[in-house]
Amino acid sequence: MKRRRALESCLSICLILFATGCWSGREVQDLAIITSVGIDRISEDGIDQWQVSARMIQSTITTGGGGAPSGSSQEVLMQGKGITIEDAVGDVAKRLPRQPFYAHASTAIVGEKAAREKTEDVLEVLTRFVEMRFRVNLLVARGDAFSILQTEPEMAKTNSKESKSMAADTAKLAGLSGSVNLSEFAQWLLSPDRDAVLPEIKVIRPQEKSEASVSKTQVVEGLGVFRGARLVGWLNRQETQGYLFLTQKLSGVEIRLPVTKGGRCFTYFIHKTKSRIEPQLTGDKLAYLIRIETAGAIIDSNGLDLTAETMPEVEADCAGSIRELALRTIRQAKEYNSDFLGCSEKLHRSEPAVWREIAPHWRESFRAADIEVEVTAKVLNTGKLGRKMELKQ
Amino acid sequence: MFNKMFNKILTLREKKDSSQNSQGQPKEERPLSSHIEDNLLALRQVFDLCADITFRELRLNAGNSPRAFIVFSDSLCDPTQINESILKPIMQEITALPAGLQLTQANLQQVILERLLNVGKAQTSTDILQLVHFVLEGQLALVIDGSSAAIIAGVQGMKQRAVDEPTTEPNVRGPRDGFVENLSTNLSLIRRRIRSSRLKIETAEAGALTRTKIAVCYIQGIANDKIVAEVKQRLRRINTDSVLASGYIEEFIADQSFSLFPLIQYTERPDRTAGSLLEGRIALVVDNTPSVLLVPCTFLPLMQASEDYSNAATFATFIRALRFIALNIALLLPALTVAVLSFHQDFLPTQLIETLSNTRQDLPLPIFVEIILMEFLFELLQEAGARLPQTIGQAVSTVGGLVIGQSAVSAGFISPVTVIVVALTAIASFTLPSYAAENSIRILRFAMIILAAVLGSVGIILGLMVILAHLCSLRSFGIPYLSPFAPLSLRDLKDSFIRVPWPLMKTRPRFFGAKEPIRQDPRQGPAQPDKGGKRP
Amino acid sequence: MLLFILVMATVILFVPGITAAKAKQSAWLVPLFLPVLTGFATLWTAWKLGQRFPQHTLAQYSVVLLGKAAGKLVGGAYILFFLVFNVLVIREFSQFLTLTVLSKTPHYILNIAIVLVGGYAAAKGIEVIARMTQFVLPFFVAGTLFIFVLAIPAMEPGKLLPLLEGGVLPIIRSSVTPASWYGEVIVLAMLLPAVNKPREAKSRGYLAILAVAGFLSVDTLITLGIFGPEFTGYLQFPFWNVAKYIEYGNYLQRVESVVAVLWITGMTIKVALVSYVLALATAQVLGLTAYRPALYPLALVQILAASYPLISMGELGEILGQYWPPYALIFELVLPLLLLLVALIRGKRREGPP
Repeated sequence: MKRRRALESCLSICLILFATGCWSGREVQDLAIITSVGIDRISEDGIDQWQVSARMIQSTITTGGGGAPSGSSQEVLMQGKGITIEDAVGDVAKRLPRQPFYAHASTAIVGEKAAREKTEDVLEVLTRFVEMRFRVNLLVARGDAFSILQTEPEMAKTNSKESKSMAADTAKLAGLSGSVNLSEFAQWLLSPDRDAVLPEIKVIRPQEKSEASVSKTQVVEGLGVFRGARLVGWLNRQETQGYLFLTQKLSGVEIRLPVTKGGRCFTYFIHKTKSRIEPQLTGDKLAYLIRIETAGAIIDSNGLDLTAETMPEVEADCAGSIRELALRTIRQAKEYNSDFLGCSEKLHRSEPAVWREIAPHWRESFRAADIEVEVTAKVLNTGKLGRKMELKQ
Repeated sequence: MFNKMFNKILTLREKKDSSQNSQGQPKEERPLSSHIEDNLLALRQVFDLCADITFRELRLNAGNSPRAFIVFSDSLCDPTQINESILKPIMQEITALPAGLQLTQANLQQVILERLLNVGKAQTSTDILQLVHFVLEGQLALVIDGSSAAIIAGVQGMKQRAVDEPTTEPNVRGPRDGFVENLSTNLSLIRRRIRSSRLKIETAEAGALTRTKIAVCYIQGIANDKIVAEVKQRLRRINTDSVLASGYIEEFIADQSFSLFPLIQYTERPDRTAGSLLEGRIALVVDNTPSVLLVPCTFLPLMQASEDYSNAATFATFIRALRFIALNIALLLPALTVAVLSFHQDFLPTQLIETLSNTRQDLPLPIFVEIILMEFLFELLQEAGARLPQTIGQAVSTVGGLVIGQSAVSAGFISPVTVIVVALTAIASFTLPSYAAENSIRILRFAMIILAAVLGSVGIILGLMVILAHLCSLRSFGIPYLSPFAPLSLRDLKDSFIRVPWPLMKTRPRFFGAKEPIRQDPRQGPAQPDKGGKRP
Repeated sequence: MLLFILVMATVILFVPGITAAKAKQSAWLVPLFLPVLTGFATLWTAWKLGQRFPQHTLAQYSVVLLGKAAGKLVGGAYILFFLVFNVLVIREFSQFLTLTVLSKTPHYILNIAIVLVGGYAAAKGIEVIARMTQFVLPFFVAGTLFIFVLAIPAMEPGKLLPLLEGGVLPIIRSSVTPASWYGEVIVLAMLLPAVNKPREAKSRGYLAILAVAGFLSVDTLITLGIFGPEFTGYLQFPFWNVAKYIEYGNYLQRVESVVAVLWITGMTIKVALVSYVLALATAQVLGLTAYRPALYPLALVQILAASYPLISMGELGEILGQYWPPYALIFELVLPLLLLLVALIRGKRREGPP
């Protein structure tokens, strides 16, 4: 009896399942795997519209002479327009013979206009969309995102792979930009005490290419600064380096910093950097002290004597250069009225009582605060040589 | 040695109710008559048209030269033994009896039995039907005029396969002998390993026509008495006309006949049987079958090979881990492939999904159908390989595996992924030490693929939960099937996923109801060299 | 152990979001205090009642204590409670799956699937459910720890500061929901007669609650450390997203499938257990001799109720977060305490079988 019942229930499971079919199933070859998305705000015929462009993998099958098929992948670019972002996404999908699949998107690029006007919409749609991962690298384009996606990759196989690895690693390692993912960006925009930055991606025309075969490519360099949910300005390369020194704890990087000493230029290779923000309260006056510690190497000494005696001097000069960069960034931050350095955040965390007082006008307090920077730079490594080489005249 | 062994055999008399005698021969007694003519007539009647049964009439050289005859099956007996041990003594040596011993009608039988017969196993029988039974077993019956009891002498000399390496459970390092079809050879293989009088071997019979002998082996004091009684009880309940292999018995005495998992283990390895006996389990040796049944059976022994105990403990542990991984691959890999490729394309890294997508362009079949087809093909190949002679079998696997796979892929009929998956699954399922477990996995694999095609990974997990619930509800002779995991017995985990070295195998598995828990003193092994600690 | 899975299965996904919405960066403290006390109180009450009636279940001794009519009424109320409880669990299950892995599958299919699987296990009896739990538990714990360990490097401890910014009040206010989930241990009151070592059940139960509290606290801590206090409050399934966030190179990524596995196994056992308890209570209140016949109609009711299509995710969250907890607490804490009070006043106890 019991056995029969079990059998019956098994049968009924199978019947029900078969009778109704498979709902969420879709074959992998029927997917258009989207690898990077660009979201732009455009104005067409006087109507503001969204423009969504997407790079997706185009799988091709080629049957070689040996009989075994070998696939290779290229990317195609598709673009759609619409009143809402989803509308534009639908517009992209209408030309596809397959279902768009966003779970493998590695970069999302926000156009400059969209970032200046409607960042909140972009953020909403990206965080709400189930297929989108929080790890997706977020970038802001100088100009529109579509033209970034139009460029051809130089080293990597595809456009998206190139922008992904630049956004995730190399730009940060070389001190060109930061790396921000969706979750971090959302947290910054949600937090009561900090403003956001996004790495900047732009189109460049590589100089190596001859005029005839000119093609455009992309590079991640600099940062876009937000105040609240609006893009308010940009940081150039030096200011970006200042930002990295002020806020990041990095190791294994290779940031090249040209330093001038007594008319001679040399490069300080920074391998490690970390910083600490200390809010300082003297009476009613709010001040911050930011300590930066770096460690690195000098390889092109450019005739500089790198002995134990002269090293402190050299290090001091390096520190001076870093401090200068940092102060420049701070000036820029105050100018943009955007606390992307995390000073207020630090204040909130370590001095909640003070924070409660200034919370309603925290950006002004940040602007008014004195921010001092103290840099300790170490040279740990001078390459294969010790003393400088005495070359004959 | 055989003699010693058989002396210990206690015959389990079948107490069958009269209601059970509806089929087969009637069980009433038919005593031998004291007239040789009557007996001869009766026996010739019984063995009418039995070409292999030989009657030989003779006269004994004693007293008034009484008439006698022997009856035996020349296909089951050893002719030299009959000549040497039976005929020679009663015909020649009977004349050279020690002086003072007078042969009379009365003591003739006793003298023959006690002084003359050169065989290890001899007894008397007074019942014709019993005598018939003995003859059919391969013994020789000597009936003497004037006596209503026949002498039964064991002169079996059946043709049998030599003790050989077991084909289903080969190993590298451990012993190489395997069970054969002959019951007494098999028992000798076990007895050789456990030379203790506590190893009890009780016999029973099943099958009204086949009268197959079943030996119930267990170690007294270690095996749980209740389970032993239960086994005997269940054997006694079997009422069928034929038992041709141990599989018949298996299904008669299993707790559930419809379980997907084997509730009784079988093995061809005497070392494994002995090891199981020492753990407190019970072995059922069925005549004419090389596979011995071991009860109670839990899930764990199905995942262990006897080789594990010959290899170094660390290596055995590694191999067991490998085997559990293989189990999961064999059960789940095709299903997971279907689930991932048609539901959860986001569970794989981008690179991988890109490659997979490329290989699957322009294929006619969805992945689910592909996998099912290829798995089906693989099952066909396996069955074909198993049923064909070994040399042809190899050709089948070459043709099937290489040619079909290769050409199906290059024809753009199926994707290479499917071939890889099916091949991996096949290899994984071959690593499972138990053929029975492998069979249940084979069935469940298809169920899993279907579930995966319907509900993706959710279907797989729900399927696994159903399997788990099923496994948890199974019992083999009262022992929960998943012990020692559920119910958990930490102490018994020493011989589960891991195998600890022998000196640490202090106790027997508790879940078989071992009465003598301690196996050995753990503090043996060589004295440890000084570890550099403080000297006293 | 059973209790651990029972409580853990749901909370691990939901709690960080619900508590963080109110208690912000101090949310990880929430599961440690008030809810633990509620859980302990529930367990203690169930245990005390169980001591007085060692062979009776809740549905049976309420009749002994309150008389036939009132007792049956209480039993009926509990049937309703367990029914709604199970329906909510089933609904959570399908809701989560449709939002994450099976976006186009209709709810009713998933509901049918889990009720069938849970019902299959429930039909096999409490012993089988217990053994399944025992088997699954190590994997459950290991899987959770696996996610924890992988997620820790992505944490930024600074996000947890400042501690107790809004004072203690938000913590207390956000305790109600987790408290009602801890209170789920009341099912023990239906199971005690089946427990073979009742003495251990008590200490194991306390241990289970503490373990849940510990895991939950770490879970919340990690979620907050990764997503920050504000963002966490907006997330539907924070732990799922934590797992999605884990990424090491090109290979160790997309481990959210582990969470899905944990969730589905946990939910299956939960549904099995509650279905069993529900069928048992129904059988006892209605005076049936076996619980199995009650299982089938109840399964049908559960599928139909859980598939009621008009509840959206937001409404489900609302029900789970705001409306359900007070009701649940009545059944989990208030009613058992009242029963215990009656038992103490009337001095009733009964050792023998019902």
